[in-house]
Amino acid sequence: MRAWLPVALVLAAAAAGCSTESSDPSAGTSSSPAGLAGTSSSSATSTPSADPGEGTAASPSVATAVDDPLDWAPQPGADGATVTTNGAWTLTVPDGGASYTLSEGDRARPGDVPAGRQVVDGLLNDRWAVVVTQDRQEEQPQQATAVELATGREVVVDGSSQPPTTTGGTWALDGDRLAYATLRGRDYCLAILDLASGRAATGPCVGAREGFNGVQLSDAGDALLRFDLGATQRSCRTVVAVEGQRLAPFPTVPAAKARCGGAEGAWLEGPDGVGQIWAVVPQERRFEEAHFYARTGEEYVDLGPGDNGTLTLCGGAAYFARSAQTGDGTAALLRWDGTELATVYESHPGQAVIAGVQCGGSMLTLTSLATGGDETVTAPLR
Amino acid sequence: MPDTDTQAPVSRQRRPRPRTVAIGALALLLAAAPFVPRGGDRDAITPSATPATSTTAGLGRLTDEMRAEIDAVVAEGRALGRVTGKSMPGELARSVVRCAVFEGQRYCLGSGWTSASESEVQARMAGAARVAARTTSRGSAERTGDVDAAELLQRRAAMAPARRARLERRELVDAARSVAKVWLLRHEIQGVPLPDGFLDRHPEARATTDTNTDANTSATSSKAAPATRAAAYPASAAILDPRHVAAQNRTYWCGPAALQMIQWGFWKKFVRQRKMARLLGTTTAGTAITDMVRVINRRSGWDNPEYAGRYITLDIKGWTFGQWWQLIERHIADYQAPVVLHPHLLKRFYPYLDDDASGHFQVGRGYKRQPNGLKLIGYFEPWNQQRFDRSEPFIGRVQWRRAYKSYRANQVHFQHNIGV
Repeated sequence: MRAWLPVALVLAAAAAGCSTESSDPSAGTSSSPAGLAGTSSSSATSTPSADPGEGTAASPSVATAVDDPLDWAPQPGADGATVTTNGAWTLTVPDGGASYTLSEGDRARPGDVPAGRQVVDGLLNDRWAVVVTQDRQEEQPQQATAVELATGREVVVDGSSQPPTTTGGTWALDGDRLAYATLRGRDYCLAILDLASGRAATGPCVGAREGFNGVQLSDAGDALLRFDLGATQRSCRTVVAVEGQRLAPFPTVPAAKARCGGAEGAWLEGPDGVGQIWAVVPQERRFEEAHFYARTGEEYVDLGPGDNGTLTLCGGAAYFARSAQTGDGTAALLRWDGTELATVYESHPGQAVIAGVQCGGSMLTLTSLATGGDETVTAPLR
Repeated sequence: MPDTDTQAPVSRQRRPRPRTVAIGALALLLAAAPFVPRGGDRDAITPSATPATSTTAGLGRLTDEMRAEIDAVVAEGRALGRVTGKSMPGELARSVVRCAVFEGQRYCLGSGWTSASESEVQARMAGAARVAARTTSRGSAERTGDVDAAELLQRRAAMAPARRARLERRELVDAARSVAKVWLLRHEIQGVPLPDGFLDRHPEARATTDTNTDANTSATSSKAAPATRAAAYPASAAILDPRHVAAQNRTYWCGPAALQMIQWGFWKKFVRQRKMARLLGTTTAGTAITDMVRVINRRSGWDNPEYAGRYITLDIKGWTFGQWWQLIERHIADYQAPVVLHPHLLKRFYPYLDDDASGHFQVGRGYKRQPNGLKLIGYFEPWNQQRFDRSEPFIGRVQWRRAYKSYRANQVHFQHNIGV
């Protein structure tokens, strides 16, 4: 299906939105070509997904989500807390991060949050639980405690580790690999620690006037969001691939100017080979709204609108949230596996949003808020 | 860079509203109304005010009954003498969070106008203070400048009894003279009938047709209550010049920065956050919303009857999203005055944050009802997290977002109130 007109429109809109701050906040919430093309963003259809044989960088094919709901079940204990579970283990961090609990079945193990610190990240997969704490004033290096679930062995990563942690910064976990930010001189660098072997390495760095966050680790490759520091009007944000000691811009962002509107991105190994998924922010004044794209091989796909900050790699696929696109629509969680876009969750209707997606290795947990009702649910991946 | 997302900045003297624009907007709205999905707004209450009432009210008269109530509440506080800050939160809350009832509306010190009982407000504050004390002692969470419950209680408890009595009296007098606005909002948004003789007692709430009345001397308002919602409010509106924005200079100065932008919008003059902090009584623990409202009433003209009338601190705990949205619409489209948004900055409501943070102040200054039924709110965000953390990208001060998220972030705040 070649839908050149809507694609051209959205590319033009994305380029315009990135070259000058949009002066029209009243423009439609969705900058989606899918929306223009009539594809529903909040209610999945059963029409085929994009044919990856047609899209190009200049004219990506427009994906239409198929309906493939996971087996969602209510997740207890999630009121006012962030819950991540892999089925056997559950990591719960109450709002504000004053404490946390790691539980196996009915056996709960309250975590020890050092005085003066708060939990700022909680990561869980089938092998490890990682809890990251930070002092309130963000003056001290972060501290992470990784618990090997099978043995209970703890690995502590802090300011005295090599490479040391620093204040603030992004964390990511994939298998045994733990990523975090470190300083080398004034440069801000990516550190990767193999939790199983203890081997650590400092990866690529950005300069003193730059920063990064949004690290996404996968077997297919690593990615992060790089940006300028010290801006007073706007900072240039670029989704980049980690290539050894280099950071290379994702080759797949459709317009040069859109690179400065980068939001998040990741590598993905799909059935048809290695690919990428990434998002840009079309309007800086609507920072929470992003537009997602993907590439598999040389084929480019427009995945439509989504919520900035929700891209989640889990079980070999990428997931992102899409808030309701109409006042009585539903919020959705979408999955991109490299070849197919699928709606795996829909919320209750009405001004609906998804407030957090957590990957527990082999399970997903999310919370949706809507005038039609809230819920926190968990589902095993297929 | 040109920016057309706002109407022209409002001037010190209210601009006469161009009749042609109003007629045109009304015609468009009436034509479009059948096609506008209402979505989650089904629970909204259509204003039912009589034509004689205004949409807002200026400064009212302090009656003998009000004076007696204020005297009683202040005397109750004085009788407590010195309140030790080491008291348990429940005891502290019972001591310093006392409520007065003016013409059937309850005002609680430090919390604002509420439908809850005094004991409920005290219990809520005590519960929040316990949580805050526990987390503060452990150092969490990141704070952007909204004072937490424990500090609110401690701050008042630490005052000398005479000073505390003086400040409580000032707060209660301000509240009592604003009761007409509370009644109007409850009537027109929540559907509560006005009491008999309301307009006789409150000429400041009576509508007039004179839109050029001097704001500083008039006792009457210039705006008549809308007959219907659809006819009253356009699909979108924005106020304040988006160039008049600033990031907070200190981690705990969201209140001064928000007030700076509010003052800048009215006076068209840059004012320093330091001065705002002094007026607000801001400490390293932050700013209280009642101080935000107090300073707006005393130092800006947004409280003039032809704008918002007296600003009040209003508990929206029991409000539906439709009611909350109607309040925002009214404030922006009708009052053409900014709203003191009071959310809890949690990542699940603000995905651009790196961590969960404290309560916060933002400046509400626009709204949009999209044809597809989505509702967006426009606001000035004082918090520039990159200023304090190099792991986060810069985000502009001028933002638009799903209003429902802001409503939920407001509801989850321990005070769940708003400055309007």
